[in-house]
Amino acid sequence: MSSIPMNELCSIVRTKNAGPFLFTLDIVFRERAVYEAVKAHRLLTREQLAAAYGVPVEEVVVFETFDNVMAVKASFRRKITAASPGDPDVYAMNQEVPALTIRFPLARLPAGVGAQGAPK
Amino acid sequence: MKEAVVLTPTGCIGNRGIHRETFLRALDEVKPQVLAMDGGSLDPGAYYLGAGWAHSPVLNVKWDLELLLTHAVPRRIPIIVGSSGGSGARPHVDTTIGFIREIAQARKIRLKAAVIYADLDPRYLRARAAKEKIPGVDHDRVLTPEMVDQGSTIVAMMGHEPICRALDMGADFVVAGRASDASAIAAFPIREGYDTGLSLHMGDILECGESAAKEREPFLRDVDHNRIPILGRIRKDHFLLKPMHPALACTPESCAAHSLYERASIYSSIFPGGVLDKRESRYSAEDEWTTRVTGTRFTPASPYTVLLEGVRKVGYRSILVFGVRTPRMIAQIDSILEKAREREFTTFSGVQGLQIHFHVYGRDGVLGPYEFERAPRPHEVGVVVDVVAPTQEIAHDVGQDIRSRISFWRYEGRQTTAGNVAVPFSPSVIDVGAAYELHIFHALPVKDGNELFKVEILEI
Repeated sequence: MSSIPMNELCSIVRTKNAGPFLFTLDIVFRERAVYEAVKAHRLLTREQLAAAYGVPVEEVVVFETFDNVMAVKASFRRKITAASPGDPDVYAMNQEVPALTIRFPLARLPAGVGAQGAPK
Repeated sequence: MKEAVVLTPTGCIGNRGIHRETFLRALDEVKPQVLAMDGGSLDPGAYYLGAGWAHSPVLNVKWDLELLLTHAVPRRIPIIVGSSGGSGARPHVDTTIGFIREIAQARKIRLKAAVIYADLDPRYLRARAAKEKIPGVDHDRVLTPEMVDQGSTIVAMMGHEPICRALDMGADFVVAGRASDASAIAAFPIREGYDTGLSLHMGDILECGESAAKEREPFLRDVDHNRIPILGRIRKDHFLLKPMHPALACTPESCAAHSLYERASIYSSIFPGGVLDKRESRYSAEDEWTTRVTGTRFTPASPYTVLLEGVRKVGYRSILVFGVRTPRMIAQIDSILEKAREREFTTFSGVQGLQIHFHVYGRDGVLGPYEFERAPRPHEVGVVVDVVAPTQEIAHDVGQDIRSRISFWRYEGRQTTAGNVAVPFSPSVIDVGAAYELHIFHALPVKDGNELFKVEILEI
């Protein structure tokens, strides 16, 4: 195994509306060393998230890191205004799933990560 | 030490209900100077603003109001509720006042209520839209007079200023229409002279109640009314946050993590009249239960702008739910639904504004346009058909027509000639009522935070 699913290294991967025209994705890492490696090696980028969601990079309107809680935050332009007819997820509570497809190369992570099988 | 003591009894009036014992203990132990909270949000969608409906159960709303009225008013602790009744438009505010009257009468409580409506006069807004460019928020459509005409309800989000005025008038209970959640909580400390940035940041964390606290041991899930009051103490250059139940703690991590919640940016949020800047905010543990926050700044905007929220009626909705289990039909579900939709638009071709949406569970019902998984084929598919039409009768008719058409659709290899799908309800088409969409979300420049909002006093 040369890579690991990102969410196996996270305590939180969630989405929610940020106003009716945006939804926001919060990713919180479990270990400081992993979070630092993600930042140092740019393992998670705006471009990568845009690709996971199949949207142009301009639709990711905010991309931030938050050292305090080892978090990465990205906010996306909604394709349909929240709660307008056709919107499948009024609160955008379940739009995190495309982010679960992101994997990190083990070679870029601190030694031992993924070795004993990260908690699911 | 000079401080203002604010208690937020619940993250939202009527949402699961205040934990009674903790609330009563907090009133005695910490002697709060004000109880401040919000009563709703726009998050549940345009419908509630358009229809004037509450999105919290009446039973819990009354539970919370009864606790507030019977215990705070006799102690002379002012109560502030922002976005009353859910969306904070006139019907929501009036419903809240009705509940307050009912409880006050039954409990023989007399109080001075201050009411601040947030509804905007459409004639005023239309005139402004005709001569100025009023910009969209998070979108680039400038407000037009036509959009104002289409609006069935338009509210403006107030900041702390009108709430401070209501407190100046000696209100026991401030029933505010649409308000910034943080501002409703920050109003009291700002009026007492505390820093606007720190006050708003404190309000911004307190507004969701115990969501910003960590559970030290499992407790909340075994309690019916499980909203836990959180205490905020603000001083010259910092504020302290502490949950009023020992099973919960405000930790530096839990408080910092709250700046991720339901907002686009961690570091910068727009509030009525300016921007809250959290780049220099620092969180540290004061004790096991308490976190200290410093460094947050507020930059006033010039001109002052208020956020407008407006919805328009797009018609009436009927929905139809059915399941498909037949493998051959599931294999062709995409083309069957699309062709059936085309036929409906031909059959009802004279109907202006007809919309038909399929939510196909098992295919892309949850992620919609973001769905990336196409195989393997599911063994079962659930379909919710959403019809929006100019009248309820037409919406219902279209729903019935779709049910019949899809039930007997002659797809390739069909063997189910007595009917194709499983319908779980009778009536199979469910009439939902009016359907709304948000079309106004704009920043309106004003002279100051008081310009649009009148404070009215009611003796109850």
